[in-house]
Amino acid sequence: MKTTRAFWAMVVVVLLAPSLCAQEPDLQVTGEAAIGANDVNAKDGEAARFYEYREIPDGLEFSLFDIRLKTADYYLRLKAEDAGQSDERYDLAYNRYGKFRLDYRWDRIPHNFSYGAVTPYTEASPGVWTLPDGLQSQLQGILGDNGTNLPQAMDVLSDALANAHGTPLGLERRRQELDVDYSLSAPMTLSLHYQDESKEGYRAIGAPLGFGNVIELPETVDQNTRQGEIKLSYAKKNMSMDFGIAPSEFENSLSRMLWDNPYRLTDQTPPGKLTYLLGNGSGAGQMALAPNNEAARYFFNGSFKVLKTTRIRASLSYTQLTQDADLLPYTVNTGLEEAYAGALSAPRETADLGADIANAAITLHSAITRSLALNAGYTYYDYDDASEALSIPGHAILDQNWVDEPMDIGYLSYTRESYYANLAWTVWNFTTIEGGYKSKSMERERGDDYEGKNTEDILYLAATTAPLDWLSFRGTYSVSDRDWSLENGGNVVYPVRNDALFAFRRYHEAEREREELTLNLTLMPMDNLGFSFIYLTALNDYEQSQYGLESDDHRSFSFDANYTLGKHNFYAFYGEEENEGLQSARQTTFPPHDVISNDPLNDWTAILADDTTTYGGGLDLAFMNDRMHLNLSYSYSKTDGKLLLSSPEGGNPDAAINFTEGLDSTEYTVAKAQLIYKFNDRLKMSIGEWYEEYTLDDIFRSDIEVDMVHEGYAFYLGASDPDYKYLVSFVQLIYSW
Amino acid sequence: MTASTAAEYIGIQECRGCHEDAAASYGASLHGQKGFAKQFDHACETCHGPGGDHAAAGGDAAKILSFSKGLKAAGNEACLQCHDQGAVMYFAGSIHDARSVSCTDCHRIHRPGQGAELLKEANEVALCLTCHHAMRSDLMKASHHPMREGKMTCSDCHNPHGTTTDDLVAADSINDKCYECHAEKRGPFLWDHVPAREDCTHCHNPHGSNHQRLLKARVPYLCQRCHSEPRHPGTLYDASTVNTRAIYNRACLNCHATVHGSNHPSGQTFMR
Repeated sequence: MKTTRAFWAMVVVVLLAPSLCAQEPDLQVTGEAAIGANDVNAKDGEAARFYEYREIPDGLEFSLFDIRLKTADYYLRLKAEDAGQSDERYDLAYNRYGKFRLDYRWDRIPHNFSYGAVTPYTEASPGVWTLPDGLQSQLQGILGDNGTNLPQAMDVLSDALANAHGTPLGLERRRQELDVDYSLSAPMTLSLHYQDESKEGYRAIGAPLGFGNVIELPETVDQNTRQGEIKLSYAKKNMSMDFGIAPSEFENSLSRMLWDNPYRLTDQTPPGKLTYLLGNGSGAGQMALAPNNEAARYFFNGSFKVLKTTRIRASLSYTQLTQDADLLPYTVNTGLEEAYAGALSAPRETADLGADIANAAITLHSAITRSLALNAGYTYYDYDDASEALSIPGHAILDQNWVDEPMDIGYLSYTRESYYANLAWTVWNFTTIEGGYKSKSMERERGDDYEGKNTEDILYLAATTAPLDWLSFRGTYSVSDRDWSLENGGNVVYPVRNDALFAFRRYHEAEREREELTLNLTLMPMDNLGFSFIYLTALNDYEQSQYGLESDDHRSFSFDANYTLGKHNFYAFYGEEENEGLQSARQTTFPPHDVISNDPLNDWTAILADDTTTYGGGLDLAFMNDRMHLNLSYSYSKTDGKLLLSSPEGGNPDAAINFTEGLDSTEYTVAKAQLIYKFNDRLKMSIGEWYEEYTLDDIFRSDIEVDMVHEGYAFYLGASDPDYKYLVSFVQLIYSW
Repeated sequence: MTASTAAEYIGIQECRGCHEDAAASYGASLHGQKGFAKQFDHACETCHGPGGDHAAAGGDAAKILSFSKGLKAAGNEACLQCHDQGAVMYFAGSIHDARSVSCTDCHRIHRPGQGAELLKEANEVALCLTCHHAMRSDLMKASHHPMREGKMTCSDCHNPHGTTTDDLVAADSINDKCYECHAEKRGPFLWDHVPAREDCTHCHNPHGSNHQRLLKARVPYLCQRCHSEPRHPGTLYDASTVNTRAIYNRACLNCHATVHGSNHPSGQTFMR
């Protein structure tokens, strides 16, 4: 419906606009409209990924309508792209120069995940997923309370899965944005921004029951985010400032997801703590979905030119986050009331959570001399959780068991600070050398049991030079060293059960040394020929991390070339990228799995690498005195995901069994040929073909199955991401006026 | 070379005498419209400075601001006369400014550019890729934001004119930027996942990834970079475990579905 309204509103405005402007003597009306048709051929069947964020209609396509009305005082622009499609977009822009500006956008963004998903569940009401009672009671009868007759139960469930029905997996965002700037006087502008975005549809979510019963379900998504901003800006020759407020509200029409346990119809008190057998426990599971929340940001920005070449800028903001959604009960399993009388109640009525964010920044930029500039600054960001403390007597695991573990929930607060200074020195008018220092810190606090601080020193050097018209070079090198206050004590070792023996560090806070180098060379040996080379490397060494992420390195090289010969253009690009991470861990003692081993023989190491190669090129040839253009383009990208596992002999297991194929590999190819013929200055035709191919070779996700009941009591949506090959033929008429 | 401060303004008609094409394109540009003229009434000389000496010297290029090679800083200053505010407030001293990227490297002033921003390239992504072409491979990866489909652009997240944050993120923090479109992750939650609360990029690469949901590495190994608790988190998942729930399909996320944070009283391990 919104599509129709937006489209017809656009039509009305377009029809009215010329008559409204008819009295304008200097009115210029220009525009462009494109209508065409596609013939879409899926060589290997339809694939949602091809349509992931777009619609390619097989048939008529009204791809563009763009009209611009312009006088010396104002312009009005109306633009419609892909009208009537699931990726349609409409823009309205009105600008009375220097006085008033209005931009309105209405955009629809599809996000298709899979066309192949199936489930035996039915959505009885939004967010409530049910199975036939008969199936549940049949399986409960077979399994009893002790998980007996398991093979027979699995066969019954497999039969049900064989008859599962298709279910859509995809989201759609509908976003409208309005921006208005009104200049109250020459130096003062009032700005308004409003955005309303809905997100609807289904996406896959894991919905487990028990410790072995993974169920994948469609999560119903019906969310809306509204955000606005009102800002007053004041600008004079040597200063400018603005201040305002930006509220935001997120609303989820579903607070929870509820789903049936396939193995059980009625609730039951499980036979023992932390035990689970198929058929035990709850008749259903319940999960909390994203809660409604609000934010309000108050801000001030100011820039002051205190001297002719010296600016001081400051930004201050304060943001309040609040989340007060109704809390769900600990469990929906009535059988757990025996273990804790309040299990079917929420610990308190509403979440009563919040955080205050204070942000401040001040920077100085000064051209001390014509060739020497100083930059310095300080930033502060404080996330202070202001939630009402909550103590809980315990919790329910997966709606199956009650665990008596009283706990005061510890909320995270943190403070980031940084200050920096650098000098940029320009020599010979074409070379700038910049050197500087930056200090960063991050201080965390969570509940009463954790407090730690990272500090990082960064030194950097950059050079930019363009000694010749055809040559320019940029290079940057930085080295940084991050420390952690808890490195030599305190809560550094994780988990704490084996703290003397197991030095496991989390990489977002572990000590780290980092080196980064960027080299960028641009050559233009002729006016019509250009080359650009970029080399990047970023090496992260977590030198104190005996376990966890130990190193994480990135290297890339890319090359671009452009050549123009008369009205003909040619381009090519090539890139290689390597990402490699080394990580280690130690396994649990086998059995009983509840203690991390002390034995180094139980160590294991993984090297994960993603190697990407990207290349392509194209040309635009102009013929017949620019009347005809031939465009050809090709691009290819392949990423090989690799994994090399190792573990010493004698441990448990005593050796890692590596995969015989790569972990995950994707390839993406696009080739396009297009011929454009101009009949006259107003009318042209485009005709061509375009080929797109995608392949996924993933040892866990290629050809994903629905029925895994016999290998782990789990079943999935079978939301496959299949390879595809599409050939699209198209013709388009483009009229300009 | 700078123009003499003592020079007089001569007006666009005088400029047109020698620079007919430039004056015409200026007249057709956004800056040349009547509304702007009310605020900046020196037309060409608003940016190039008074042209009196230049004209008197028969067009001596040394007597007017021409913004040619070596005068990028002067060119930027000319733009900042009016644009030193709002989103452009932090340009002077920004990383682009410091690396000699000038206004005119990205924007056309005389000849018509693309859109209201007068961009030099057909669109913003193409413009940014002229220097940041290493990003092209990220945009072409299987998991990506809808940039190559034209539904997002670089400046939805970055402010190329300068910010107070690292990487020119156009918000107070990376997470504050992500929450603009992913407000469902904003919470705060009863159970926050600490690294997610701190910085989304601990786990995600927003420019593109070979792994689902823009993850930096494959799950479960990504999770195991931080989690080695007893039972399954420390388990070695190798070729002998392909068909187990901890590695198949969504791996850890098969069960730990609310990994960004849970609002369920029993959600401390993000399974509810």
